[in-house]
Amino acid sequence: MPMSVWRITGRFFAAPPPADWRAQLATRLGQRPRRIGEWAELALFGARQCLDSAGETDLPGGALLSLSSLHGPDIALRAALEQMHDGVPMPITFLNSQPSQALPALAQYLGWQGNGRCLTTRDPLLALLLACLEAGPDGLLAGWVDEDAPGTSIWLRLSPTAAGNSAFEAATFAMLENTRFNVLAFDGMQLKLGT
Amino acid sequence: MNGSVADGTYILGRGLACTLGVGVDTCLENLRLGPSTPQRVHSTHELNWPYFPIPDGPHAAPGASWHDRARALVRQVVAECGADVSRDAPLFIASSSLNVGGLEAGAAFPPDQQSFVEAVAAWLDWRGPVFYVASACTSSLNAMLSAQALIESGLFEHALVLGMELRNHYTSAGFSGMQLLAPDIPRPLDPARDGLVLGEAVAALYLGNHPARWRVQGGANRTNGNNPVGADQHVVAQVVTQALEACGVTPAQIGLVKLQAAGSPQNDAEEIAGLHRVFPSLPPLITFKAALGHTLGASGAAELILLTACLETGSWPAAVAQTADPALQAQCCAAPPASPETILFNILGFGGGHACLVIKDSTCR
Repeated sequence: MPMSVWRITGRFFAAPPPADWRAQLATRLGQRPRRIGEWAELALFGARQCLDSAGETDLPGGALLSLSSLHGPDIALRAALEQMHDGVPMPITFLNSQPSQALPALAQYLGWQGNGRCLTTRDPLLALLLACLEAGPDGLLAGWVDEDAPGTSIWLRLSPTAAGNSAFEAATFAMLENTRFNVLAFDGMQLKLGT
Repeated sequence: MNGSVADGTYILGRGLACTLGVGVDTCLENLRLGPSTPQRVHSTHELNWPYFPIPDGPHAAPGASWHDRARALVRQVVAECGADVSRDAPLFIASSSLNVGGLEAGAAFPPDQQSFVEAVAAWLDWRGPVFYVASACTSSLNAMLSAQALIESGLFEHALVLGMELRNHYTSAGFSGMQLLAPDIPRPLDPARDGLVLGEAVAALYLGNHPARWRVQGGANRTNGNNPVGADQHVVAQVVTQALEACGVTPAQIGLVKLQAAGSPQNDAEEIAGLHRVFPSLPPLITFKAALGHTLGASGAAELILLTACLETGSWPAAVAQTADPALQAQCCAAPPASPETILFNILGFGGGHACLVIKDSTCR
């Protein structure tokens, strides 16, 4: 398998997110996002910031959107299960407990319609490797989001590129936050970063 | 791991437990008998819903705990895939409800959702990487596309896709609250269709790069942000066109379409309208929802197993074509079409998910 090489055009690492992240998101969107749960909202906060860092207003339709989460919307799930003690969960609470509901929210607010999925592994690099294998012509937007304290919203925007003259070194997921690296490659299953 | 790039992905093994029974052969026998009647599932507060559970039996003992039953069913369907399933391959667990039935039964919340996914892998003595796909009804199809990417990259020779939608009240209650459930039975494409009936399934597909009868050609997946709970005919047309183009297939080459068609008044109409946009004349159609209910995240795997097994044996769901809504200009075929070489397989659902797969029968010449 040839090495797949990607330019890191945008990145956003919030672990934890700032205390006023919801206000920041509302300011950025011009309104508070409606009818979405807090987990999806935290995903949207990071994804929007990541696209902004890439200088993109919208996510192109040929980009894969891959969302990972170890916990998923389990705060909403706990609330919905509580509501079942009194009958059936409220529709909005039930919807917010479904991981898949983050995808249309992201689609709506990122001006995107394309290949999106919720896919999680314990090792975040595996999810990134798989996203690179399945990315479309416009690359990918990949996120790792958990609302359980302290909270995480980490996003990468990658576009396909050629290896060029980049010097690569073996890397870990945490090193992706370092803005010194702007090229990412997978050599088999080994992550490498370059400048 | 494997070093060379594979030139195809094939279905090497299948295992299924659903309302039709445990084991693919048993499911086929019961499929031929006609639509099953859903059971009534009662929750507290005098609420009840129709539901298609896996029948009680040796692998789903009536007194077993939710977790013991889940473990027995998972082990059974993976064992049915064959003795040579590699435990070092990637495992994709596709589910909407995951362990919520266990939580209802009083189990403690695991440290995180992935912990339960890893517990399922441990039931199978799995050593390979474990992925959890939670894209609602399209979960199994998305898992298959991801498995295909790993196999055809040459990184792995095999992968196992495990669709799991196990019994719980929560999902039925949620769908009921949204007024999406039929009061009694599902009636796909029928003029009197009035909603879904949910079902239980555990379905395993063992995929690999060794040529076999059924080749997974590829597919496409699209998320629509305009309707988070339903299908859109324009997106249906787009995803089907994209899948056909990705596989180098023309609409005229499609010999059979496995529909999503779950009995929803609006979604059935949107799906058929989308297909009319792609196909000047619709190919033969089939849906399995009247027979096993909508098994959500497991539906892609469960229905693909049933479809391929039906085509191998000439079995077909009984009474599937009894009535059809004339407004749709679409009706399921009453018998399997003769040797459909290339088949389109649709799954639509929650989260604005629209997915389809193209499979090919390599025995057709």
